[in-house]
Amino acid sequence: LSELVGRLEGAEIDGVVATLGDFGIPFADEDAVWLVVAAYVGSLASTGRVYEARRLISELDALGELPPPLLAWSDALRPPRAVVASPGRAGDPGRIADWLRRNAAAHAGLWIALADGALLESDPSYAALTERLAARGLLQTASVFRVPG
Amino acid sequence: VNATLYRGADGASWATGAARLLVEIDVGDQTLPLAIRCRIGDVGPVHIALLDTAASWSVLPRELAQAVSAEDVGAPPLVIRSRFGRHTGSIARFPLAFVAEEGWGSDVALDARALVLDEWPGPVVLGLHGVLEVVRLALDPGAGPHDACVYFGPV
Repeated sequence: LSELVGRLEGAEIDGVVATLGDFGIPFADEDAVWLVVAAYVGSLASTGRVYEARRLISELDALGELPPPLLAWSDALRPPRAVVASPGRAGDPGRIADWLRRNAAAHAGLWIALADGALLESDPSYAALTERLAARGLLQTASVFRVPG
Repeated sequence: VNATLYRGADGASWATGAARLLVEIDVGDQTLPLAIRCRIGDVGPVHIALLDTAASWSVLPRELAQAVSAEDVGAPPLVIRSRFGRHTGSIARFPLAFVAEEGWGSDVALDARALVLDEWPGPVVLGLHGVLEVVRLALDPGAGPHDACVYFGPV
Protein backbone atom coordinates (compact mmCIF):
# COMPACT_ATOMS: atom_id res chain seq x y z
CA LEU A 1 0.00 0.00 0.00
CA SER A 2 2.80 2.41 0.85
CA GLU A 3 4.36 1.85 -2.56
CA LEU A 4 1.01 2.52 -4.18
CA VAL A 5 0.45 5.67 -2.15
CA GLY A 6 3.95 6.77 -3.12
CA ARG A 7 3.04 6.35 -6.77
CA LEU A 8 -0.22 8.25 -6.29
CA GLU A 9 1.41 11.32 -4.83
CA GLY A 10 1.01 14.25 -7.14
CA ALA A 11 -1.25 12.35 -9.52
CA GLU A 12 -4.48 13.82 -10.81
CA ILE A 13 -7.63 11.72 -10.66
CA ASP A 14 -7.05 10.13 -14.09
CA GLY A 15 -3.57 9.25 -12.97
CA VAL A 16 -4.93 7.76 -9.75
CA VAL A 17 -7.22 5.44 -11.69
CA ALA A 18 -4.40 4.41 -14.02
CA THR A 19 -2.07 3.73 -11.11
CA LEU A 20 -4.69 1.61 -9.37
CA GLY A 21 -4.88 -0.45 -12.56
CA ASP A 22 -1.09 -0.86 -12.53
CA PHE A 23 -1.38 -2.42 -9.09
CA GLY A 24 -4.14 -4.80 -10.14
CA ILE A 25 -6.91 -2.92 -8.33
CA PRO A 26 -9.81 -2.69 -10.79
CA PHE A 27 -11.63 0.60 -10.72
CA ALA A 28 -14.85 -1.44 -10.50
CA ASP A 29 -13.87 -2.64 -7.00
CA GLU A 30 -15.27 0.50 -5.48
CA ASP A 31 -14.60 -0.24 -1.80
CA ALA A 32 -10.95 -1.04 -2.48
CA VAL A 33 -10.53 2.07 -4.59
CA TRP A 34 -11.99 4.35 -1.91
CA LEU A 35 -9.77 2.84 0.77
CA VAL A 36 -6.71 3.48 -1.36
CA VAL A 37 -7.80 7.02 -2.21
CA ALA A 38 -8.47 7.67 1.50
CA ALA A 39 -4.96 6.41 2.30
CA TYR A 40 -3.64 8.79 -0.33
CA VAL A 41 -5.54 11.69 1.24
CA GLY A 42 -4.03 10.70 4.60
CA SER A 43 -0.54 10.76 3.09
CA LEU A 44 -1.19 14.25 1.75
CA ALA A 45 -2.40 15.44 5.16
CA SER A 46 0.61 13.90 6.91
CA THR A 47 3.03 15.69 4.63
CA GLY A 48 1.37 19.08 5.02
CA ARG A 49 -0.31 19.09 1.60
CA VAL A 50 -3.74 19.79 3.03
CA TYR A 51 -4.90 22.20 0.33
CA GLU A 52 -4.15 19.49 -2.26
CA ALA A 53 -6.06 16.92 -0.18
CA ARG A 54 -9.04 19.27 0.05
CA ARG A 55 -8.99 19.85 -3.70
CA LEU A 56 -9.02 16.10 -4.37
CA ILE A 57 -11.90 15.55 -1.93
CA SER A 58 -13.81 18.43 -3.51
CA GLU A 59 -13.34 16.97 -7.01
CA LEU A 60 -14.49 13.54 -5.85
CA ASP A 61 -17.46 15.08 -4.02
CA ALA A 62 -18.53 16.73 -7.25
CA LEU A 63 -18.65 13.30 -8.92
CA GLY A 64 -21.14 11.89 -6.40
CA GLU A 65 -21.69 11.09 -2.72
CA LEU A 66 -18.45 10.61 -0.80
CA PRO A 67 -17.97 7.15 0.75
CA PRO A 68 -17.35 6.86 4.55
CA PRO A 69 -13.52 6.71 4.39
CA LEU A 70 -13.45 10.04 2.58
CA LEU A 71 -16.27 11.62 4.55
CA ALA A 72 -14.11 11.35 7.67
CA TRP A 73 -11.24 13.12 5.91
CA SER A 74 -13.60 15.71 4.49
CA ASP A 75 -14.69 16.64 8.02
CA ALA A 76 -11.19 16.46 9.49
CA LEU A 77 -9.68 18.74 6.85
CA ARG A 78 -12.53 21.27 6.66
CA PRO A 79 -11.19 24.79 7.36
CA PRO A 80 -12.49 26.34 10.58
CA ARG A 81 -14.54 29.52 10.66
CA ALA A 82 -13.18 32.49 12.57
CA VAL A 83 -15.34 35.29 14.00
CA VAL A 84 -14.84 38.43 16.03
CA ALA A 85 -15.64 37.60 19.65
CA SER A 86 -15.85 39.50 22.93
CA PRO A 87 -13.76 42.60 23.72
CA GLY A 88 -10.25 41.78 24.87
CA ARG A 89 -9.55 41.54 28.61
CA ALA A 90 -5.97 40.30 28.71
CA GLY A 91 -3.24 42.25 30.48
CA ASP A 92 0.35 43.01 29.57
CA PRO A 93 2.28 39.70 29.42
CA GLY A 94 5.64 41.33 30.11
CA ARG A 95 5.99 39.97 33.64
CA ILE A 96 4.95 36.51 32.47
CA ALA A 97 7.70 36.59 29.87
CA ASP A 98 10.22 37.74 32.47
CA TRP A 99 9.23 34.92 34.84
CA LEU A 100 9.52 32.34 32.07
CA ARG A 101 12.97 33.58 31.07
CA ARG A 102 14.25 33.32 34.65
CA ASN A 103 12.49 30.20 35.90
CA ALA A 104 11.06 28.00 33.16
CA ALA A 105 14.08 25.72 32.91
CA ALA A 106 13.62 24.63 36.52
CA HIS A 107 10.07 23.49 35.71
CA ALA A 108 10.80 21.35 32.64
CA GLY A 109 8.02 18.90 31.88
CA LEU A 110 5.51 20.61 34.19
CA TRP A 111 2.33 22.53 33.55
CA ILE A 112 2.67 25.92 35.21
CA ALA A 113 0.13 28.65 35.95
CA LEU A 114 1.23 32.28 36.20
CA ALA A 115 -0.40 35.59 37.09
CA ASP A 116 1.09 39.04 37.69
CA GLY A 117 4.58 37.68 37.11
CA ALA A 118 4.31 35.05 39.85
CA LEU A 119 3.90 31.29 39.87
CA LEU A 120 0.45 30.24 41.10
CA GLU A 121 0.69 26.48 40.70
CA SER A 122 2.70 23.79 38.93
CA ASP A 123 1.98 20.12 38.37
CA PRO A 124 2.87 17.31 35.94
CA SER A 125 -0.88 16.84 35.41
CA TYR A 126 -2.95 19.48 33.61
CA ALA A 127 -6.14 18.22 35.29
CA ALA A 128 -4.62 18.53 38.76
CA LEU A 129 -3.28 22.00 37.99
CA THR A 130 -6.62 23.35 36.79
CA GLU A 131 -8.46 21.68 39.67
CA ARG A 132 -6.30 23.58 42.18
CA LEU A 133 -6.67 26.83 40.22
CA ALA A 134 -10.45 26.41 40.21
CA ALA A 135 -10.47 25.74 43.97
CA ARG A 136 -8.59 29.01 44.50
CA GLY A 137 -10.86 30.92 42.09
CA LEU A 138 -7.94 31.62 39.77
CA LEU A 139 -8.88 29.58 36.70
CA GLN A 140 -9.97 32.57 34.62
CA THR A 141 -7.07 34.83 35.55
CA ALA A 142 -4.15 32.41 35.14
CA SER A 143 -1.92 31.99 32.12
CA VAL A 144 -0.98 28.34 31.64
CA PHE A 145 2.03 26.89 29.86
CA ARG A 146 3.54 23.43 29.52
CA VAL A 147 7.29 23.81 29.87
CA PRO A 148 8.97 21.56 27.28
CA GLY A 149 11.00 18.73 28.67
CA VAL B 1 -4.21 51.26 21.03
CA ASN B 2 -6.33 51.26 17.88
CA ALA B 3 -6.19 47.57 17.07
CA THR B 4 -8.13 47.84 13.83
CA LEU B 5 -6.11 47.67 10.64
CA TYR B 6 -7.80 48.54 7.36
CA ARG B 7 -7.41 47.41 3.77
CA GLY B 8 -8.65 48.39 0.36
CA ALA B 9 -10.34 51.51 -0.94
CA ASP B 10 -13.53 50.76 0.98
CA GLY B 11 -11.68 50.70 4.30
CA ALA B 12 -12.80 47.22 5.30
CA SER B 13 -11.32 46.09 8.60
CA TRP B 14 -8.35 43.76 8.27
CA ALA B 15 -7.57 43.11 11.91
CA THR B 16 -9.94 43.52 14.84
CA GLY B 17 -7.78 42.83 17.87
CA ALA B 18 -4.20 42.90 19.09
CA ALA B 19 -1.98 41.65 21.88
CA ARG B 20 1.65 41.74 22.88
CA LEU B 21 3.74 38.75 21.89
CA LEU B 22 6.12 36.80 24.09
CA VAL B 23 9.42 36.87 22.19
CA GLU B 24 12.48 34.64 22.44
CA ILE B 25 11.56 32.86 25.65
CA ASP B 26 14.27 30.43 26.76
CA VAL B 27 12.75 27.38 28.37
CA GLY B 28 15.54 24.99 29.29
CA ASP B 29 17.38 23.80 26.19
CA GLN B 30 14.76 25.28 23.88
CA THR B 31 13.71 28.75 22.85
CA LEU B 32 10.23 29.81 21.85
CA PRO B 33 10.84 32.41 19.10
CA LEU B 34 7.25 33.69 19.27
CA ALA B 35 4.52 32.78 21.73
CA ILE B 36 0.95 34.05 21.78
CA ARG B 37 -1.85 33.87 24.32
CA CYS B 38 -5.02 31.99 23.44
CA ARG B 39 -8.00 30.45 25.17
CA ILE B 40 -8.47 26.74 24.48
CA GLY B 41 -11.93 25.37 25.19
CA ASP B 42 -15.05 27.32 26.16
CA VAL B 43 -13.82 28.20 29.63
CA GLY B 44 -10.59 27.93 31.54
CA PRO B 45 -7.26 29.66 31.68
CA VAL B 46 -5.40 31.47 28.95
CA HIS B 47 -2.69 29.32 27.37
CA ILE B 48 0.71 30.41 26.14
CA ALA B 49 1.25 28.71 22.79
CA LEU B 50 4.08 28.59 20.29
CA LEU B 51 3.09 30.61 17.22
CA ASP B 52 4.64 28.57 14.43
CA THR B 53 3.78 29.75 10.94
CA ALA B 54 6.11 27.06 9.55
CA ALA B 55 4.15 24.20 11.16
CA SER B 56 1.61 22.46 8.96
CA TRP B 57 -0.50 21.36 11.92
CA SER B 58 -1.35 22.68 15.33
CA VAL B 59 -0.61 20.37 18.24
CA LEU B 60 -2.40 19.73 21.52
CA PRO B 61 -1.10 17.38 24.20
CA ARG B 62 -3.63 14.59 24.82
CA GLU B 63 -4.40 15.54 28.41
CA LEU B 64 -5.23 19.12 27.45
CA ALA B 65 -7.44 17.89 24.60
CA GLN B 66 -9.32 15.66 27.04
CA ALA B 67 -9.69 18.45 29.58
CA VAL B 68 -11.33 20.78 27.04
CA SER B 69 -13.46 17.97 25.55
CA ALA B 70 -11.88 18.27 22.13
CA GLU B 71 -13.92 16.16 19.74
CA ASP B 72 -12.12 13.53 17.66
CA VAL B 73 -13.36 13.93 14.08
CA GLY B 74 -12.98 10.23 13.33
CA ALA B 75 -10.31 10.42 10.67
CA PRO B 76 -7.55 7.80 10.58
CA PRO B 77 -4.37 8.54 12.57
CA LEU B 78 -1.96 11.03 11.09
CA VAL B 79 1.82 10.80 11.22
CA ILE B 80 3.93 13.95 11.52
CA ARG B 81 7.62 14.64 11.95
CA SER B 82 8.83 17.38 14.26
CA ARG B 83 11.99 18.44 16.06
CA PHE B 84 10.99 15.84 18.68
CA GLY B 85 10.82 13.01 16.13
CA ARG B 86 7.96 11.05 14.58
CA HIS B 87 4.49 11.23 16.14
CA THR B 88 1.14 9.64 15.42
CA GLY B 89 -2.01 11.44 16.47
CA SER B 90 -5.63 12.09 15.69
CA ILE B 91 -7.34 15.27 14.50
CA ALA B 92 -9.77 16.86 16.95
CA ARG B 93 -11.82 20.06 16.94
CA PHE B 94 -12.25 22.44 19.84
CA PRO B 95 -13.02 26.11 20.54
CA LEU B 96 -9.99 28.40 20.40
CA ALA B 97 -9.71 32.17 20.75
CA PHE B 98 -6.84 34.58 20.15
CA VAL B 99 -7.12 36.87 23.17
CA ALA B 100 -6.82 40.62 22.77
CA GLU B 101 -5.52 42.91 25.48
CA GLU B 102 -7.91 45.19 27.28
CA GLY B 103 -8.54 48.26 25.10
CA TRP B 104 -6.88 46.58 22.10
CA GLY B 105 -9.99 45.43 20.24
CA SER B 106 -11.69 42.04 20.39
CA ASP B 107 -10.79 38.38 20.63
CA VAL B 108 -11.04 36.20 17.52
CA ALA B 109 -12.74 32.83 18.07
CA LEU B 110 -12.74 29.78 15.84
CA ASP B 111 -13.65 26.09 15.79
CA ALA B 112 -10.04 25.00 15.56
CA ARG B 113 -8.61 21.67 14.53
CA ALA B 114 -5.35 20.27 15.80
CA LEU B 115 -3.40 17.08 15.99
CA VAL B 116 -3.76 15.48 19.42
CA LEU B 117 -0.59 13.66 20.49
CA ASP B 118 -0.10 11.29 23.43
CA GLU B 119 3.62 11.83 24.01
CA TRP B 120 4.29 15.43 23.08
CA PRO B 121 7.14 16.96 25.08
CA GLY B 122 6.65 20.46 23.68
CA PRO B 123 4.21 23.31 24.19
CA VAL B 124 0.86 23.85 22.53
CA VAL B 125 1.59 24.72 18.89
CA LEU B 126 -0.54 26.95 16.68
CA GLY B 127 0.22 26.02 13.07
CA LEU B 128 -1.27 26.61 9.65
CA HIS B 129 -3.99 24.05 9.04
CA GLY B 130 -6.97 24.19 11.36
CA VAL B 131 -5.95 27.51 12.96
CA LEU B 132 -3.78 30.10 11.21
CA GLU B 133 -5.30 29.48 7.78
CA VAL B 134 -8.42 31.43 8.80
CA VAL B 135 -6.86 34.17 10.93
CA ARG B 136 -5.09 37.22 9.54
CA LEU B 137 -1.92 37.96 11.47
CA ALA B 138 0.29 41.03 11.30
CA LEU B 139 3.47 40.97 13.37
CA ASP B 140 4.89 44.23 14.67
CA PRO B 141 8.39 43.78 16.14
CA GLY B 142 8.11 47.15 17.88
CA ALA B 143 11.16 48.54 19.62
CA GLY B 144 12.25 45.14 20.94
CA PRO B 145 11.09 41.92 22.61
CA HIS B 146 9.00 43.69 25.26
CA ASP B 147 7.24 45.80 22.65
CA ALA B 148 6.38 43.28 19.95
CA CYS B 149 2.74 42.71 19.23
CA VAL B 150 0.44 40.87 16.88
CA TYR B 151 -2.70 42.14 15.17
CA PHE B 152 -5.33 39.55 14.27
CA GLY B 153 -8.71 39.28 12.60
CA PRO B 154 -10.93 36.69 10.93
CA VAL B 155 -10.57 36.14 7.19
